[in-house]
Amino acid sequence: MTRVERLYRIALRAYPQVYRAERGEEIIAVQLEVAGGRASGRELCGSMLHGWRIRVMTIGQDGVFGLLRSGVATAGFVLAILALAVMATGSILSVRAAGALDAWWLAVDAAAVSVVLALAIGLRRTATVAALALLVLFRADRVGLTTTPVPWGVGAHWLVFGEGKAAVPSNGGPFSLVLVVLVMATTARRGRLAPRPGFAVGGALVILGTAIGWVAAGQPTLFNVLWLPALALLALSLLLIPIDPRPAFGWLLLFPTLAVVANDVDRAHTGGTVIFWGVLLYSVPAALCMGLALWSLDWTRRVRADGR
Amino acid sequence: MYSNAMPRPRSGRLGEPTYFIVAALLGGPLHGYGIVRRVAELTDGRVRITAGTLYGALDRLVADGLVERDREEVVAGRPRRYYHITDEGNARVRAEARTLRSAADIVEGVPLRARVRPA
Repeated sequence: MTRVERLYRIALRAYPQVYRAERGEEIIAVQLEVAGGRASGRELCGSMLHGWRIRVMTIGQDGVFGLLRSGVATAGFVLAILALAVMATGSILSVRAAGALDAWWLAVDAAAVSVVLALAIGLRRTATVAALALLVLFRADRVGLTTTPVPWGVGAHWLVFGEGKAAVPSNGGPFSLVLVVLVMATTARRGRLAPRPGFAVGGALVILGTAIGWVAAGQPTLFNVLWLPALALLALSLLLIPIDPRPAFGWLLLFPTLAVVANDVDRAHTGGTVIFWGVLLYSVPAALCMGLALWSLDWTRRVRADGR
Repeated sequence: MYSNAMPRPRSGRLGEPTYFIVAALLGGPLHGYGIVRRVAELTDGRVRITAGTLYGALDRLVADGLVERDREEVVAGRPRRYYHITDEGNARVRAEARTLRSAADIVEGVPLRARVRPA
């Protein structure tokens, strides 16, 4: 495979998997004939834009339950990568603070990596078990089964947000909810995902970006640049991850999650819940309206109903 | 078959790339790269369509019944699918051409002085 073809195939990942299977080779053939040995930026951008347009247009193809099922799976996978990025950052902070990576962090890192890898190769049960193990590790630390103070456990993962253990809310932080959604995702998805390098590359990009962001920030604060490269690389990784995010609905599930995260951060700083209610006020109605809109815009079924 | 076409009014206008794609097929069935080349020839290189635009337009045209899939062959290990215009597509692109011509006539028919006279 030439470099040009490889580039075109990467851009082709923007298309839904079903579409790629039917049209992918045909599109690549045209692009290679047009290219004449040189990759065209216009072709690459065109592929990505058209691919995402098709993804948006085919939302709801599987009906409302399929939409919900794969939406939850998409949200779960994104959250798994986000959790992994936080674990990696927490480990770096832990090493900086304590001078060594302790057993608790090693176990958490191993569990987080296992969740993402298991999801990547379609081992749902393994992913579920790993996610539950992660949850148990957090809970175990919180109830005092480990005795080492900061930066271990809940306090350590809150260091990612620039907070000390004393500022941690009593509900244990946002990752309890993240893991619940993750468990839902791993159990809701039917069928196996084909093992593809895109998952590993996408996840690695996020972890690398997070680490680089933190090093660049110098000091861990809430508003540092830590999340900027992480989010940028997360967005980039979506092009590489071969999951089919047909259901944009999955992204809507992130809103309530973020609302709870915002609540924790807000309470840690001010004791108030302004951010929480603000996010909740807008995100829940927006999520409901968008869900209804996506359902009503079920274009493909209408076309099929027309018998074409 | 994968179907992703958005329902659109049959009386709607064809966009510029779509118009030239259908026009390119008036001369006979063509495959994807053939359409790209033919469009460039017809427009003296002014309209250059990407593969993304091409297949987006073909999806809609096939769904609207203006274009149909033809034979398929394998060249150098790669699939090459041909498309041909339907009677409906033929009538539609000719109607579109008449609309464009009458629109152009309106402008061309106005004397030059009237066009440049300030309001």
